[in-house]
Parts: sequence; structure tokens; C-alpha cells
Amino acid sequence: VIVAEWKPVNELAAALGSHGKILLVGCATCVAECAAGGEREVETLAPLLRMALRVEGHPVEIRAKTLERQCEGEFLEELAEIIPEVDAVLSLACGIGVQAVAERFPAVPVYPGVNTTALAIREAPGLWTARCAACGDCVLGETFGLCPVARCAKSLMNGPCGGTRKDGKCEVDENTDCVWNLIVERARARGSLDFLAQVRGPKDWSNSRHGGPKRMLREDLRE
Amino acid sequence: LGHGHASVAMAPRPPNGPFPATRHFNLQTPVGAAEKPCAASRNHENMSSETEIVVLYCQHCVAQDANVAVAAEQMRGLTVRPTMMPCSSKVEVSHLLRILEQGADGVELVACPEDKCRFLVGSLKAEQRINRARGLLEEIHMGGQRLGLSRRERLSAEALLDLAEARAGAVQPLGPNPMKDSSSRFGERVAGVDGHRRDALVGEPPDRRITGGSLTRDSGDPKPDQLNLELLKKGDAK
Repeated sequence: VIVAEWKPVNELAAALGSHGKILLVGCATCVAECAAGGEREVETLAPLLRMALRVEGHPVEIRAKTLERQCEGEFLEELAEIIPEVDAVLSLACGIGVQAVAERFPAVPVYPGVNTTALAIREAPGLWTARCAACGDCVLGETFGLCPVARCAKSLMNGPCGGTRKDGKCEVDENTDCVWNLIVERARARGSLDFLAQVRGPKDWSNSRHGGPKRMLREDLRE
Repeated sequence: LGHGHASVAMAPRPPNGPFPATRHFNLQTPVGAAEKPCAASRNHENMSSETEIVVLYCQHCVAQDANVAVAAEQMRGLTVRPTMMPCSSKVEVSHLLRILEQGADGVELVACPEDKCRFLVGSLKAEQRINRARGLLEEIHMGGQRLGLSRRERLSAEALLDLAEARAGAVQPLGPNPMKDSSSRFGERVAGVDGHRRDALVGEPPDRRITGGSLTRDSGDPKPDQLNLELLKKGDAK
């Protein structure tokens, strides 16, 4: 899922303090899965913001709504009747959802309520770890299903580096596994260590952000 | 549940009706409360009668014969609003914040001892949520000590109110809840238009209306029928 985390409440309060009526919009898809922007988080943030702004002398009305998805136009139409009644929108969706709301309703200021951080998996309750960097040239078939781009601090294609700890953790973070250590272990378990010794060509980064904003076109799906 | 007071968890959804002009959010009116004597009658001279403490407690934390509602009514100098729950883990962070938003000065959550929870991890979940909510309150300078957690079992009504008193003492240095002078006082209809349901306090899941084709989750409209506390009390008495 796309993982996000709340911006500091004081940062939100500072951004919203000049508005009187605010629409707080959640998204029941990815950010709900990572407990950042779903219905439950909307219900938590709304009273918190009211109190924060009240304490600062800026009482506001906050209206709350959670869409099934904020990144698709058909769901955004649910907001069409509410938007004229508010001064600003605070979106708890990922950056895609925030932009979708801003594009559909350009007359009203739209603020992000979360920082979108990663494409991640829920590794354990309350713990999400990055699994994909959307690099545009997937190498998982060559790395035994473990992504060195998203999971190696250096995005090495020929790890492990010399910084792997004795317990197999990354030198950058003692709580993070060295993904190249995991790759080697998985290769060994499959009896395929030789595969890792093969010389591979350089990874094509032109399809990642290095190539500019992405645009995917499928002629067969166009109307 | 045979504890001498009504369980909010079993309260039926109120039928349609106007929102009553009462500020009390008293879901605890027991059956035949007026006839039942209670030992707890106190006078807290050093506390303001405006101080409001909400006590959320697991039904298994109190003794069978504890008449919490009557004891709370008889308290002087401190307003205590007890609410029984099927398990302390029914409380969500949003519930705690909503209670404070509506003007309560503090909330004491009373959970079972860690190894006595009927749901095994219920009281642990409650503790996690209290800690989370306390952190958020600190972040907005409202004071994390407005929320507290106690682990007890077989409490008398008086002992439960002692916990409320202790919480009142803890919040006293913070002063009154700054939300008190807003129009959304605890026990009244919330002035905001986000439409959170009153009965969210009893631990029901939020309204998830997925209407045909629209797939929209709305926090709900603040319909008066959902907030008719008088009728809710009648329902409690069943």
C-alpha cells in the first residue's frame, strides 16, 4: 500500500488557522490500511484539530468525510455539494489524492494532512516497511523477490556492501535487515548462489524519476 | 448485566425524536436508582464543581453490587460521569478526544489488570490508545494528564470515584479545559458539523454507510434522532 504519516498537528493548525470552515477528507483505501488517513483517523484528527485551533484562539468548524478513494474522479463527486460550503480542504490521502481533489476543485485551497512516505507492506501490526520504490525497471526476478532499490539504503545492485552488521542488519539502521544479506540467504537456500555471481548489465534508470514525470499511455484503453 | 446499572453497550439505538434540551450525557441511569441507597456521598471542597471527569470503565472492573451511577450523582464538588463498557478496549483514541473536545476536564479509563482481561489483550489495547491520545494532547498543549488509565478489579462505587477524584487532582494544575467555553459542551450536541454520532462513545463502530453505487463512507449526519438521550435512557431501563 501507499504509506503515509500524519503531519505534525501544529503544522496543520498553522496552515489552517486562517480558515473558518474546513472539510477534512479521508481516503478509505491505502492510507486507511496504514492507519493515517482512513475514517478512524479522520474521526481522531477532527476533534484534535478543533482543540488545537481553539487553544490558539482560532475556533473552526470542521466537517468530515471519508471517500472510498480520493484518487479517482467518480468518488470525488461526493464532495461537490460540500465544497462550496467550506473555506479549505484538508486531505488525509496520499499525494495523489490531494492532487486529485485540488484538480477537481481548483477554487478551494487543499492542504495535505499527511506526508506520503513509501510503497510498503504491513510487516507486523503497527509496522510498515518499504518494499517498492517505483523505479520503473523491476529487478525482483534477479534478486530472489527482494528489492534492493527500495530496501537497500544505497540501492545497491551488487551488494552487500561492507557495512552489514554481524546480525545481518543494515549499518544505517539496526532495526532494518540488510536486504542483500537476505538475498544471499535466499539464494543459498535455493542452491542458486552462482546466479548472484553472474555479471548483469547496468540497471536502466531512465524509466524512474530520472527520466522526468511519468506518463503511461495505453491506446487500447483510451476513449 | 446485573450490576445494578445500565450498560451503555446494550443501549438500543434511539428512535426518531427531537434532541432534548439537556446537557447531561448520562447513560448510566440505573433501574430503580432512586430507591437504592449508596454509601458514597462526598464533598470535595477543594475542587470546583465545574470540574468534570468522565470515567470509562470495563464492566469487569467493578463489583457486582457497585451502584456507580447513584454514587456519582451524590458526589459534591466534582462532576463525575461514569460510563460502563463491555471491555476497556472498546474505547478509541477518537472517543477520548471527543470527550475532551466537548468540555470534560479529564477522562479516567479503568481497565482490568493485565492478566485478568477477558479479551486477553483488551486492557493492553486500551493502554496503547491512552498513550497515543496523551501524546496527541501534549502535541497541542492540552496536557496529556487529562487522560489516565488505572487497572483494577472488583471496585466498589466509592473506589471507582476515588479514581475520578485522583484524575481531577491531576488535571487541576492544567486549569479548566479550554473547550469548556465553546458551544460544544460535554453532553450537548456537538456544534461542529462533522456529524460524529453520540453513541460512538459506547464503542459502536462508526457509521459506515456504503450506499448503492456511491461507495462513500460518511461520518454521518448529526441527526437529532441519533442524539435523543431521553429515549436512550428509557432504552437503558429495559
